[in-house]
Amino acid sequence: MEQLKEKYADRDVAFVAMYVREPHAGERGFRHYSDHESYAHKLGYAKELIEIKDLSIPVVVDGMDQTTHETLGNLPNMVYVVDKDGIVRHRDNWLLADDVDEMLAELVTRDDPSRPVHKTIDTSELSASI
Amino acid sequence: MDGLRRLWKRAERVLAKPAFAVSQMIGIHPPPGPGIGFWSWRYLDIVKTTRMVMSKRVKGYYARFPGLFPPGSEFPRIVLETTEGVVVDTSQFLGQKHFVLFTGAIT
Repeated sequence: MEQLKEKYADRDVAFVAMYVREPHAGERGFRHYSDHESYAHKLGYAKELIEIKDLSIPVVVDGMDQTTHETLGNLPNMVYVVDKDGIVRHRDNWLLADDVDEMLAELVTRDDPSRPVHKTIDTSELSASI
Repeated sequence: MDGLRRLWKRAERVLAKPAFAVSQMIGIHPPPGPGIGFWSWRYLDIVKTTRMVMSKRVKGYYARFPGLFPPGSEFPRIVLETTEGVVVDTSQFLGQKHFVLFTGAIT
């Protein structure tokens, strides 16, 4: 997503990441992570995520009751692409940067046909989604 | 050895999308990428993860998802704070910017 953010930096596109529950806390590769015990705990993990992934995209944190996450589907790695009119143009239950790139290219090209953008992201060899 | 590696990479590319589609059909959602999309099983607890993705609760989320804000519908207004304490209100993007909202976590 950082690649996409760079690609669309000069176009009218904003990126927002929402930090949600840890789906694999305590598992083989994540022994020292546990389920959130408080909002401060959750916020700490969100900050750690930014460090680990070196994110420049703003990361919002839902409350402990997960109201917003619940409203949007409660999935760990979902994505919504929303246009300037507030209409959902693309959404997926698993984030695939290729598909997001394709939709954004279409939207920004429609905004300014004199500066067309083409899909360039290919995630087939990437191992991480965020 | 290099030839084998190249062959494996090519097979991964060819098989990745169908494997991902099949995995979605049976209700398991591994990330795309190396290992035909099943690279994550190396660090996840296979039993726990399988039990989780096959649970009624999680299957319910995936079953409910298609009905929530499908393409063409209006996205709800969301107001949340970033880790820096800055308020992000999705209504601020109206008429100004397209936006991409995605969820994620460390694990």
